[in-house]
Amino acid sequence: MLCLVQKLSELRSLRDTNHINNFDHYVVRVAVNACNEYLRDRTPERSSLNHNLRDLMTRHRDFSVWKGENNLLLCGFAAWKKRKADAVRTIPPEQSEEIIQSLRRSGLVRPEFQRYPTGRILSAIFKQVGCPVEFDCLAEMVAALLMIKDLPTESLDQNDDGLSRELIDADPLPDAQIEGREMLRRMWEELQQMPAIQRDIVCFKFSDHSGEDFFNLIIQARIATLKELTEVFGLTPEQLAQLASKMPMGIQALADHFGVTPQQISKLHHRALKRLLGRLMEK
Amino acid sequence: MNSILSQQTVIAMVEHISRMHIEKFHARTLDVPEMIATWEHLDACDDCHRLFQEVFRSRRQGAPITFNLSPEYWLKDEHFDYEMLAAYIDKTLDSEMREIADIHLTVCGDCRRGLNSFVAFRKESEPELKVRYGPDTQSSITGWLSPLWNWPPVVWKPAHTFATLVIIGLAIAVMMFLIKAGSDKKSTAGDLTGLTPSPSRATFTSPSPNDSDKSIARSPEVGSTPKPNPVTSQVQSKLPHHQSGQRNRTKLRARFPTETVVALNDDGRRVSIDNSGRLTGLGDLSRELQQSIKEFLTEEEVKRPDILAEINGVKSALRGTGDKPSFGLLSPVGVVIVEDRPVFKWEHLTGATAYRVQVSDSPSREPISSDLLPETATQWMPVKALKRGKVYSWIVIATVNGKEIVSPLVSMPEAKFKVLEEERTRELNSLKRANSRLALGVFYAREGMLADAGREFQILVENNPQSPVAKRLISIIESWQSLR
Repeated sequence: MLCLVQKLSELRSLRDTNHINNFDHYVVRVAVNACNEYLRDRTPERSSLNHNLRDLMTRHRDFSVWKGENNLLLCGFAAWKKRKADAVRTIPPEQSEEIIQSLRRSGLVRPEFQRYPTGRILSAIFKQVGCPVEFDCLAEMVAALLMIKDLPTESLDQNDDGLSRELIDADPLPDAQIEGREMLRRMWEELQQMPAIQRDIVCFKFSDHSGEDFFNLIIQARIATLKELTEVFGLTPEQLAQLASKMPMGIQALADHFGVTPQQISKLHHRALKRLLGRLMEK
Repeated sequence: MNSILSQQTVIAMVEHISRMHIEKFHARTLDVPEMIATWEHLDACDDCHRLFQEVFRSRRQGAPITFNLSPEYWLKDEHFDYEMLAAYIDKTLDSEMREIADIHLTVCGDCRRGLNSFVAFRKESEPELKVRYGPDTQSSITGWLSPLWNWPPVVWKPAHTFATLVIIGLAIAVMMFLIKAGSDKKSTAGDLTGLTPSPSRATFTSPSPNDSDKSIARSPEVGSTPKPNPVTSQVQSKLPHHQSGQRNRTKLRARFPTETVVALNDDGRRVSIDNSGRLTGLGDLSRELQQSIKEFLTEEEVKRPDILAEINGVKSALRGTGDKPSFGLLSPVGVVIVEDRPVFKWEHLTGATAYRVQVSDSPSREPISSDLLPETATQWMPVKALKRGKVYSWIVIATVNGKEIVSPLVSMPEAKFKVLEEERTRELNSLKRANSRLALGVFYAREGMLADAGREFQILVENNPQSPVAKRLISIIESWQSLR
């Protein structure tokens, strides 16, 4: 959504230079590209490569992965970590291509290899770059070297097959399927009995099968007014309205909001749901 | 601007709301003041609420409200990141995170496959961990030397070749002479250290019970100079003197066959140190840890970790004398811990109506504080993880009859502890996989985790009931504990 809004703002600033022939198609393309960007790291092969690289560098005494400024994940030879050398965030495509070609020429990567000498590849890259590298940048280069392909980027504003793409959500799991307004009301009653942080996490993260967030559901079913909600959550109407615009919130957003780790959010959410489900099933 | 907005908002709210405005409200694209005004209006106006319901239904194409509260449903998108994956395999997740991870794995094929592939990679990459890599210094050296090669061009003649060969020959002869002279001197020095091999005194795997009793080191008295330990004295007499250096050891290895001076049964594997100081049987350990293990097994005195003095405060008269009734802080006190969210435990104080815990890593920083805890509480766990590698002190403030009683009293030592560094925690996790009581025990001891070290060494003693070396490890830990 943010990506789409950014694109539209850019277009507005460009005025007449770019025309959108079919707005629906355009939205689909931007959405697909945004999803692909997110999914790029979740492509099984690519995600597996990221994990493997990080693991080897974490466990090998001569490599290291560490957090630099702004929590940016950097990597390189372990000796560089102490030296606090300047890190390379992006490698220009020409240099990257040059390094990849030289590694191919050196015979480090050959199609007949059952597995690649990851340590040697990393060492060779670090030697050529000569200073710490942003982890994502390194992973991208290794992926290119090993020919692990990303998802293709959709061309924007094309009419051929845009809307035929189906964005299918996984079927909801059959267990604990709950229907209707009455159950929503009971859930709200139970939520109010919970420790504040558990209640907040469940509410702010909640959505029904149509993706509707908790506040819209509550308003629609007339279960609680804004005033009642502010009293329960201990927030001002302004704070509540601001939160509503971020809902449903993901684990990381909740962790940022409450100032705890994502793992703690997962635990609290899990604990709260187990209790909630138990209480609702009991009645 | 705000007043104009609020005026417009008020006007809009007096009248009914348009469908477009409700759609914007539903999509959360209104600004905050408009959103609040619309929300309040929807709470009060039946007509507009009906319109909201219409918008609500049309946006979801009439789908009924259904939701799912099963953990499988909510955890299906909580995919494993690297930290989770590694922690899952290293078995460092607590039981709750493990449960969450297991539930996710039951519904996510991608993460299941990712996990299998990660396990396979770890197994395959094991040999790679032994290969050494490092920044290439060669290029910088050649860069530094390159100007030297840029000599002016010289025309090469046969006489030059002859002269070069003569110079090289002379250099080799001088070097050989110097090496011979040096080795003669050192071999004399080596003989003087009394390193004549004696197989009967060389190993400690099965000494006689009498010998063993005699050689167990006693805990040194506080403040006294430790007496020479017969075990280490014997071991050291078999080892080259520290000052002799590597060259001396090489020389000795060449002169005498390798001889085991310490050997232990470490959970089924044989760990030994030979007379050249070489440690075998423990696989791939960091040099630092290998050195510590050698120290523990062979040195007469092992230095007590500095952190123990830091976290075991002493009573200070400067802090005054408490005369109020108090209660004890149970844990963590005077320890180094692995958990970054420790459970703070204290004794119940009769008459207390509430407690509050405060934890701080610096007097100048705002402490982490618990909420007001009920009178029944005698433990608390912080919501947020503490920073690793820091020394913390903590207090509990109990409320009794409206007055606050702080533990520890000002006249008592501070309750301090340290959270193990991130890097050390990783090292510990990988050590746990290595299944070596000795390596683990030495790691714990070095980091100041004395109870854990004692536990590991105790198992080592059980595996080596006749070994004075194993018993001495326990006595080192006991002597450190007695200094608290």
